Amino acid sequence: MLISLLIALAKILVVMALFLAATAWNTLFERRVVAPIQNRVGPNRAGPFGLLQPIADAVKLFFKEDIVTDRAEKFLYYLAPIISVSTALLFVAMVPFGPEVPSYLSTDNPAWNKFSMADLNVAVLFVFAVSSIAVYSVLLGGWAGNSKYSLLGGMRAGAQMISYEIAMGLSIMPVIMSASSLSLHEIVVAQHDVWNVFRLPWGPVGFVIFLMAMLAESNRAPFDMVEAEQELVGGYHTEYSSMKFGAFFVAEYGNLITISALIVTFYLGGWQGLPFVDVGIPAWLAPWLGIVWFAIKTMLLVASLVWIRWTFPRPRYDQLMGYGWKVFFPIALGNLFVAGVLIYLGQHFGIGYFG
Amino acid sequence: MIAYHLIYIFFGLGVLAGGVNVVAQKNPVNSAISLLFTFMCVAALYILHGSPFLAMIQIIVYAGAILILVVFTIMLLALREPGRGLGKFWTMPQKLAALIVGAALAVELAIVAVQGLGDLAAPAGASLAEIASPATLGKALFSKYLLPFEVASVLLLVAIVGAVVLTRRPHGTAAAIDAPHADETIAPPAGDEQGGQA
Repeated sequence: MLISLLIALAKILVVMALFLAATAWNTLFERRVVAPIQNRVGPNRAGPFGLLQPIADAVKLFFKEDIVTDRAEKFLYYLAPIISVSTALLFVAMVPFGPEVPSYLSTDNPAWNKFSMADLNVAVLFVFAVSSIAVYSVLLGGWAGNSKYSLLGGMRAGAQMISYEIAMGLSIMPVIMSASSLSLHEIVVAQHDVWNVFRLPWGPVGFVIFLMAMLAESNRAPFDMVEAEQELVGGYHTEYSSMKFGAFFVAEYGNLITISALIVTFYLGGWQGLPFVDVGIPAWLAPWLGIVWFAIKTMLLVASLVWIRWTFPRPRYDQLMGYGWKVFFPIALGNLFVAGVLIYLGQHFGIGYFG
Repeated sequence: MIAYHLIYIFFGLGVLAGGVNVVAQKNPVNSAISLLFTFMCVAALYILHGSPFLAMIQIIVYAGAILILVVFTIMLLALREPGRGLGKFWTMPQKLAALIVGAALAVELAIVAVQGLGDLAAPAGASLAEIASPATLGKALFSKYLLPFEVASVLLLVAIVGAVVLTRRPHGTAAAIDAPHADETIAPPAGDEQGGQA
């Protein structure tokens, strides 16, 4: 009992430390990538290649004056950044970073040997639940500051996140049906032969919709209606300063990593390597290599999301809602139907390659 | 086991405290957040009872869909003066009616609780984790309880159609041109509920 608790705590500590560090340097990564895209140099003064920039940023944010707007709802004003950061961290809890290792300690509890903080049999629903709680941070952050601009930003972001949750849910359904499980570990295991994105015809369609929906969920450009500087000053965090703004910032860049990790888990085979590279790798090394594969895929995806952000223009708000309800939702629904029929045929009659 | 009971009591008290706070708060947004807290505590109780599936559904449906809609409505209505509570608008008859309805509900709950105590024992031959697993629930939902399930989805569909009809204005009026995305702003919660249930 006690040792289970200690192992769980150790996992949490390691993952959280790595995740927060990755989040911090992710800000630098984005700024360094965007600079050449915009024909600039980017931050290169603090340390070699600007590697100490995130630390400088954090110190700067800590020493900024902490302003609370007049007539703000104090409690909710403080609560919003807390919800924002904690949901960003909670997402990571379910992500499987690698396959089960052969037991080094004991076989008493299979959960010890898994490369994830927890392996629930409802992990997919946990992801949904956390993402639906994340809406509150935006809504409350926009409302509590007692400012028109942040309220507008919060309301439209909230509506956007709720709308795209549907497309997100429907685009994950085929993956769940194909793996016959709600556990992220088993979803990755089910992709051993074919990654979900290559399962024609529903794989690529679901992948694109899921990618778009996750971008919209995390209010990431080109769907960053929340901020839309030209219209709303700074969106829901207009009235936040100092480390409370820092909290929103951490959450945004943490979410960037998490959505990449989730997309990799659901559609890009998780910790599964490319089939032809796996040959001839000793059994003791394979699980650890899984982590490397997972990291490589996630980093590539983060890089492409940054690229997307600085390449595409932002759609208008009504266009965005139009895409969500009139394009993604029906396509995802149709995709779900096609996938359902195909998977049923595959599992019960051995037709196709889904058996 | 002591730790389990302590955690259980903690979340149980959380449910009660959140529920009381919903009524006690002057500001409706604070009430809504108290309600969110209550929902989370109820979800925690589900987990302690060995049913993480119900806990997640509780959060997705109640906190993620229904309460969000409530918060939206409150924020849109109180847009001009954030911080103005609904408390002062409650008249004496309203308070009295609330008291009567609340007391009736409490009695009802007590009766259900007393009657239900006899059925607490789990069916023999199956572990709690198996009974509460999504697979078992799914099978039960699509075989034994298929009819109620389908009836509930038709009910939700009716609600969605109703919401669309209510928000639709006649074509060609100024209002219809003026508010092109009014439909879309209202529609999400209805659709989301459906998504959560399905």
